[in-house]
Amino acid sequence: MNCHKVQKRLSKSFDRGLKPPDRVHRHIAHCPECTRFWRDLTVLESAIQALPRAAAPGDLTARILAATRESQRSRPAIPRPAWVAALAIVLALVGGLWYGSRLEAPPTTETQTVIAEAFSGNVPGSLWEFESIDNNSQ
Amino acid sequence: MRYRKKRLPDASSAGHYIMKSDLTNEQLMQAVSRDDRHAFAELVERLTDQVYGLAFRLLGNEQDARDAAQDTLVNIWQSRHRWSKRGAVSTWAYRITTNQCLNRLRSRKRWRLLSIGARLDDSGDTIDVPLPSENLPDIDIEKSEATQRLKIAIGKLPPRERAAILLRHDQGLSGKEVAAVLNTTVYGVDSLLFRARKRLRALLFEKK
Repeated sequence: MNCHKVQKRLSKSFDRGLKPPDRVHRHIAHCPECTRFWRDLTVLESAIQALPRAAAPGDLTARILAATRESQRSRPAIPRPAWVAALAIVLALVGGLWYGSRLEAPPTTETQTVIAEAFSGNVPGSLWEFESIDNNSQ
Repeated sequence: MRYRKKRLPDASSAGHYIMKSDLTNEQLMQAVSRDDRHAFAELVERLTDQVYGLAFRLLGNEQDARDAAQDTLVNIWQSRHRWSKRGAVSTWAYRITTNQCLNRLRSRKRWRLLSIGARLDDSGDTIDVPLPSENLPDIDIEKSEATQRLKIAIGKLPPRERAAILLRHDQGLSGKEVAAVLNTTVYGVDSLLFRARKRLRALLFEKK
């Protein structure tokens, strides 16, 4: 194994918390460079863990909460499935009522209009006139 | 659900309180997905330091970190109805934060891959970094100078390598969690970490 492959295995073993395989061990026993690499993995980890923590600015939480309130005002939330279902039911009911009222509405074709006017008695020669003629003839 | 009140620290939020409960992050997120603002406030209180800390390390300055942290948590609120109950909320938050930061770094174009003498081979995968051949200098991580050198070295890493090494060592995530955050495999994370370590060694321990 060359040093590149050995170091790659060492890095992987380090992350898994495992001992390096025997053949890697045999290599590092005779390779100062890979021995240093193995040691440096621990040094780097400790150094990064020891970096001072950056604390969030004190007002950040309040700013975030304010921003979410603002975003909700400017952009309505995506409708939830329950709301969508309720909206669909209401629309279906309204649509059904509208369609039902259309079925009971006065006829609109020309023939139907003539018949309706004839029944109303406002048109000369309507059924009412025929009826009165019949009455006179009796 | 048991709560206790905690006043928000800044003057502009006078009258606003954050409730404190014994719920897990995932239970809080479930409540958030039902539009519970109190639960969201508590979740923000819990996640802000974590999200800001990672953003600060990745971006290297306070203003950008503040913006990235704010965008991350606002994004969580806006995505609340799409939250999947599988997985940890903190991993989800890390993922959004990392994406926010990587996007910012891409748009900045401040990082330079070749700045440390590394060069890519033709495939763009293998990185050949000159390694020190002499004895290592004494590194005392307690010294502020050493800390500063380490911060600068981390800042010189390519963004995904930087994210991987910080998530692993600074935030203490497992390889599997880092893979979930970076949307890659555990083997992909192995590779990112290996390259990051080689670069850091070259930057920190190379004899000048």
